[in-house]
Amino acid sequence: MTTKRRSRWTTKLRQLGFALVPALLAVALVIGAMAVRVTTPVELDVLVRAVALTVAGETPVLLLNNSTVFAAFSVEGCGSVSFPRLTIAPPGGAPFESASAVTFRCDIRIPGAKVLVRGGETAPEAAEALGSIGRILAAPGDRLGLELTNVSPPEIRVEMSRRVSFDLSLTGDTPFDIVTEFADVEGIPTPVDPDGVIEYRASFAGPGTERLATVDSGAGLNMVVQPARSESAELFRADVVIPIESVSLFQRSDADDAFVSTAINGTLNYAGRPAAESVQISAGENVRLRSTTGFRLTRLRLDGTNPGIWLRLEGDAEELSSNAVDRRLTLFDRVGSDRNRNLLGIVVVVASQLVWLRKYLWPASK
Amino acid sequence: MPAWRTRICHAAWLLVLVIGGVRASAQTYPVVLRYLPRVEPGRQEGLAAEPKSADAIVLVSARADVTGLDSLGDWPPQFRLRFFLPSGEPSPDIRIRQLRSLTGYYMMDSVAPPKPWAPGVVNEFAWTRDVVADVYDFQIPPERRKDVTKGDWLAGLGLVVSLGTAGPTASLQRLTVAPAVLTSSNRPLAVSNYLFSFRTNAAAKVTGVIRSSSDRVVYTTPEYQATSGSPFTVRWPAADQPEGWYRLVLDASFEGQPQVVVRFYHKRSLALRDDD
Repeated sequence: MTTKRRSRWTTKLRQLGFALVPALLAVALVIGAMAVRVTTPVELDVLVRAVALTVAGETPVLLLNNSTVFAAFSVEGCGSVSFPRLTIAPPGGAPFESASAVTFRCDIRIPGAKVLVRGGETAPEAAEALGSIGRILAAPGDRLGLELTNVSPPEIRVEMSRRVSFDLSLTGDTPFDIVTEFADVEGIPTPVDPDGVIEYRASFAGPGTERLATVDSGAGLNMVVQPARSESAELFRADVVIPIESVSLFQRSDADDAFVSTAINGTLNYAGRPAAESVQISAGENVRLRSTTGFRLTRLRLDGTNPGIWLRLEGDAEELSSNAVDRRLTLFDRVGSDRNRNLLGIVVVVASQLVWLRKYLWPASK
Repeated sequence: MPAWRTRICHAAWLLVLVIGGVRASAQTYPVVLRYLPRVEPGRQEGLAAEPKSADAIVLVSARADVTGLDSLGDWPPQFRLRFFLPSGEPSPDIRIRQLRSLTGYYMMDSVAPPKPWAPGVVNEFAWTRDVVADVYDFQIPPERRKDVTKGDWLAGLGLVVSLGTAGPTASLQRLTVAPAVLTSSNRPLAVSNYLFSFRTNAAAKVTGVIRSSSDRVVYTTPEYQATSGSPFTVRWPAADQPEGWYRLVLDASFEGQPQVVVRFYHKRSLALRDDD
């Protein structure tokens, strides 16, 4: 009696087990698909303190507006900054007219050697327009760095890995200051200067003088621009579509001797999946993204309210993480997308059919 | 007690522990747990500090500017970092960081000298050129090597030889250093200036003084308009100054960590001993 009952239970369990095989397979497939991360189309809108990127594509791109109006401008490690004839006064000296162009060259062996041009009549905070910067093109393969170096008044550092030359067109008749740190001068007598820091008061020599200075960046461009007060929002081009090869939202901190995140806030959206939940990026969050096909930079704007630079990056991410959490979609997410819902339905129907066949055409032996 | 009540009690305790753990991890941890120098045996150990949010000014390079320095037009077989180690000072800690780069930062530290450092004399740490040469080739493509020579690249390295506490915890704001020179020969070198480079992480006006060991002001710096992230350099002409201890104090016009104090020993000649 006991043996018969045990045999009946065993048979029932086997039948149940066979019936569950399709379901178990389906569950295993789902778990597998949920574990596999796949290349994910993303749109990352992020406010950052700094960003470094490599330009891709085949044509040079314009990053700043065609004519960026500035209140102050400095170039570090410059090859040269050359002015036409100037009326110039060295510190503590009387103004005199230079016989020829006045050229400053940074001593690149000393860290921080630079030439700064700023309005001389008004306080730096006034941010009155002093001039405009000519076109600076970034070529494919160039590494670029953008950094907000001051909040009020806003100042932006623009770095580029290539040597470039461009013009500074200075407006108005007001005197301006040229402050040099470890820069040699040609065209005027060299002042005695043990400190390396010299402040000149200058103006253009006459009404007929061309008000154009020429900047040679030296080995690579490293300039800091304080946009004129009315021009801050228009520092960058409004309609950027810049193909980029790689992007970094990290910066080395001397104080911490470590790489720290430059993200302030943002949102990560999954392109083409409106139903997918977006991911909020918070301040200091480590955001990494990489793609072999590259990204497109489709937004670049200095934020007028929150101190930072807004970026929008679009592309297919092969690496995408925030605070070490993989943010790429899973294979299950991709299969379960709106577009593939029919396919999912077919899979479920076939699975059900298999269960039915198992039950009625090849029932377990009794 | 019934089984279901026991389970509820266990779940409640688990919840308390989880919430407590989360709260604990969100708190600032005790100072004793921080990544700090420890003794017996000497080591650096602890929890790494979170990135500093406060505005700060830090030393990024302390170089001796010398006459008679070789030009380093091509890579020598070895680089030599030369500095004077005053008697009675702790072991030096060498830290080299590339000051600016868009393609990674060259770094060197945690050096183990082949023989113990000798106090009271000029010391050198020599290392092979291999990594430096490879990093230069990687960072500077052939078409840019005319603009960025090997000497220019080496000039962009921040050298800090600190005496005593090293590591990231505020050590670049209040420290004793041995100003160093990067050379490739063993010729004697006469110190003409000191080049102390600093960097702030906020825009600031920075002023400072250098005081002798008798607290006399021997040099007042100009006012620097420091830009966040840009180094600036204090050059002190020291050739005529008596040898001894000096202290450079800089103050930045922001709150947070606005002061940096660098103590250093001025030695006029960086000549090696005959047996070096």
